[in-house]
Amino acid sequence: MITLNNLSRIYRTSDVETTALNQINLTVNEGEFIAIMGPSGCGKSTLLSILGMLDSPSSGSYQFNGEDIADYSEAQLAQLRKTSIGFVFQSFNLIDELTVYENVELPLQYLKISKAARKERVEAILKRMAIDHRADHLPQQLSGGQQQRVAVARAMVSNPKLILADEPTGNLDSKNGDAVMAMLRELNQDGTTVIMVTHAEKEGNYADRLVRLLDGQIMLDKATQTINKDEVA
Amino acid sequence: MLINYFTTATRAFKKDSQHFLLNVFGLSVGLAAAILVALFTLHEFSYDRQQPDAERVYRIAHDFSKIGMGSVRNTHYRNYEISLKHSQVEDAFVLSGVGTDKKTNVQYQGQGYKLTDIFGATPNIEDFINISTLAGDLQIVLTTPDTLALSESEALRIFGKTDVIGETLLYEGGQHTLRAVFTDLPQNTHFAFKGLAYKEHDPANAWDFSNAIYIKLTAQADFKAYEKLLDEQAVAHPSMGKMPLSLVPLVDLHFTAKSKTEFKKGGDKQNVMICVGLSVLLILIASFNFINMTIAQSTKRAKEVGVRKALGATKSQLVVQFLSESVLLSLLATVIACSLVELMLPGFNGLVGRELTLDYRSSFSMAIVLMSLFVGIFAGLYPALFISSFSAKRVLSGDLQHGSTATLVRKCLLVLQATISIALIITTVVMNQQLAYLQSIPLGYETKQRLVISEIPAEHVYAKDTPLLLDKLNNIEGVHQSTVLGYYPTESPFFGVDLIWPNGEKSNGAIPITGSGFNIVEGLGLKLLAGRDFSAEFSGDWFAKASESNKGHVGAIITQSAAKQAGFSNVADIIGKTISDPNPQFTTDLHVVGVVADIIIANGQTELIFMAGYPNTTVFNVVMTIDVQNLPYIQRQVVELIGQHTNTFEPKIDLLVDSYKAVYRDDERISQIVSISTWLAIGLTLLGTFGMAAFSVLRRQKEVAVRKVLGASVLSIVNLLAKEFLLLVLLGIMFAFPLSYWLITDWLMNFNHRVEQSLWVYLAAAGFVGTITWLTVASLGFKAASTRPSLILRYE
Repeated sequence: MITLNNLSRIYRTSDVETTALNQINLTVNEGEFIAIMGPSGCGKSTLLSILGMLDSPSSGSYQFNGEDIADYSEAQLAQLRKTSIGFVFQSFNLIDELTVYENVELPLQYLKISKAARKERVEAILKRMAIDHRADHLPQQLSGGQQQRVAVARAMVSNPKLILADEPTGNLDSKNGDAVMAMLRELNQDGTTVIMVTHAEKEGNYADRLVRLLDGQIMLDKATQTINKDEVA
Repeated sequence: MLINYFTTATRAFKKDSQHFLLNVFGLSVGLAAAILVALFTLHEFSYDRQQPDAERVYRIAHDFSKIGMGSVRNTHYRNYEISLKHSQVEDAFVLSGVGTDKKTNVQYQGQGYKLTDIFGATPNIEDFINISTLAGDLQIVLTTPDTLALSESEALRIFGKTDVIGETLLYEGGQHTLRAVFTDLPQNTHFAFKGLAYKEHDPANAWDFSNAIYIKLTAQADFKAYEKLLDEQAVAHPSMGKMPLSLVPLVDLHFTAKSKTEFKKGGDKQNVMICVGLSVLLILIASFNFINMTIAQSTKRAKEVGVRKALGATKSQLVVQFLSESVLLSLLATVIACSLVELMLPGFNGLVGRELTLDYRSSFSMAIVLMSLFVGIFAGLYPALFISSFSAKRVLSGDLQHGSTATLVRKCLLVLQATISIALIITTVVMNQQLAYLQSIPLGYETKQRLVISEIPAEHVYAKDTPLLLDKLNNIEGVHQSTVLGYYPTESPFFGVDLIWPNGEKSNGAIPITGSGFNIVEGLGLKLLAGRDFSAEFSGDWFAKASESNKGHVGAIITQSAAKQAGFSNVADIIGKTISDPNPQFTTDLHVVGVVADIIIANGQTELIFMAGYPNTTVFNVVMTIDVQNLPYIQRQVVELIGQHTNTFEPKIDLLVDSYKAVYRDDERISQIVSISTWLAIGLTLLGTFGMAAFSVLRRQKEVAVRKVLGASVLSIVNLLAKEFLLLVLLGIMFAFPLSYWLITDWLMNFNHRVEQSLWVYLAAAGFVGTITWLTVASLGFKAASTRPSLILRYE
């Protein structure tokens, strides 16, 4: 599904050059659940942004569904993003001015789906996330766990092939965090590819495969079971 | 999707209502000003366009600048007959003054009325003027003596009804019969007659110059070539000789025809342009505020932009979203602006001297909507582009809290606003100085305590032996004395002659002359430099025909400039000398009895000759020196006496001070408009500064807290915050000074007498804007600096 080849991302300010990602090679197959881990500043978020087409690499290639997206225009990227990718953020990033319902409806509006169809899908997903009783509330009126469920619902509503989650439990207590992880796991079992950035080893265990980054490079890329063995050993 | 934008917009407005209100209020004021000015401008440019074939109609003008009159409409009737013979002319039309003689003083049911603005016209009036007859027949009136057509409102004034066909108005020795009533002429025409009558022209009368002649050229005719042809064949003036003729397009008359003989006061293109410029400035300032505040606030919307981008919105979709927000805001501002316009329209009408109305059913409301859309897009475009190009990645990873917020652009806009404010203040002050200066210029005559009765038939007031009426006027309690003058003091004599000076040299063109009564020096408050006043004790002063019938002699008082032109630098030397008017039909010898200091007559001309008893006109103005506190009593007495003795009704009586003020009313108006705009501009700029300062204080509150911890005083922190803004004002000053100097110099060129621009005005304006900027920022900064630092730092 995704193939990164020698991908680098370099930030330049007037006199400093920072290499956020250095020669990354990564292949993601459909249906995988990957956790990207590493200390602060190792390039996790940059990698996720590039995977989500919110940022573009300085060099190297990024193939999505077998096509190199290097030459895609901004409009084409937006098109690909809205049809294929759903985002879940640490700070939820719900639009404060819109209600729960309107937030979840937004991706469908950008997909130009009819109003009746939108209503059906939004209501279904809210029900599935057990948040339908809060449909008319504004984000500030919800608890953190509820907000993240709304965010997951928003990421899910357009039935994306890929979900990118940036520390989805970072702002949640452990009970709500576990619930969100269980939800992602469930999505993955339904066939959605999930790539998640996290700090917590515990959450890494939910994933099938673990990618460890350090200073912009992949240090480790293994199935979780193997890691556990390594760590035991 | 639009509904989604709308929801987001209204909720965002609600959340940040302070900036929202500042923006809407600013834009409303700017738009209201623009709507008012647009109404005014459209009106000014609509003059006479409703007349049939308006674009092919021209009016004859003669250059009378020799006697201080500029270009005037008055031309000889024969020019009409000449033009009709030319193949280039499709038709021609004459509007002729009927004079202010006894026929215009009429009685109806024992009550006396003065008919004003009555003109004779050729019967083809409907081919030249879009006029509609309510009753009767204009053709009969224009071809039958002693018939009259009145405008609707004039009929109502005299008869109290409009159904007046067949009614009669008595005048001394005859009567008018009403044969037609026409609707009042609209405001947007230079024609201003209230009545029409038959006028007979005597082709042999060389003095028949009270006509306005309109010529409709054929579609093929070349107007410049025809103008030249007509100029060559035109009739010369019997005393002033050949006056260069030109043709003025009918639709330009409102702006270009300025002489005192115009039917009504025209407009001033420069003033319209000043108004347009000012309203554009106000809109710009309001838009800059909008741009500034929107960008300053944009970080609050950054998350939304990031999320929308992540969800698949393209940049153009986001631009459209934020543009539609600014358009929404601007439409809302327009609604408020329209109500402001309704509120301000009466005041504005007084200011510009028009009767404008806002008609929402006209295409004008469409124009308002378009203007509103334009302003919304103009003000919203840059912020929309700016906001929508936030990097989604940086926003969503929490990187863009207080990042770049287009500081340079916002600073430039603030500099521009400061420039405009300072320049406007300087302009306002200098304009007011100039107007005060004009009012204080020594005119050479006295305006205080002078009451002028206009246009009294000569036979009642103008004779060598004091006429009974003048005697009675002098006897009114509170009247010190009175004299008689052949022109209205704040205007010009409208009469000039080519003279031969005592040394035998010809005068430099026609010299303005006027008939006057005895004691003119005292009566007008002139300053006598040599010789004496006209006096009944000198029997040679009053005009008299010599024994040969075509020769006369008269006493003359001349101004210093006239004496200088005659070659007498020591003015006393011309006393007793004779100037001659060599007109072959009637030669007059002028014996100089006095020289007075220069008098400023219209157009800044200073040569003038008073001639006692000279009959240059048939109606004279009585200038009375009075005690002003007795004014109401004196006015009543004057009206009564004049009615009794002259059969002249509703005489025009004015204090000379008021008439003089009226001369500068247009300039005063424009200065008022500039003043009001200045205050609005300053207010709006402050609004913008306030919004920006609020943002800047918020952004720097951590810095402020740390500085306080390190021991900074409140004042030093306030100054630190204000410094940023004062620097911008300083830059504004550097632009404003040369700009205003250039603009004001240009405006002052309109005047013959002008003030010097002084440095202190510039410095004061700069100081004023600097001070209020400091105060605005300080009011916010003081609060920030007084907050306990621990409250701020705790949240870090």
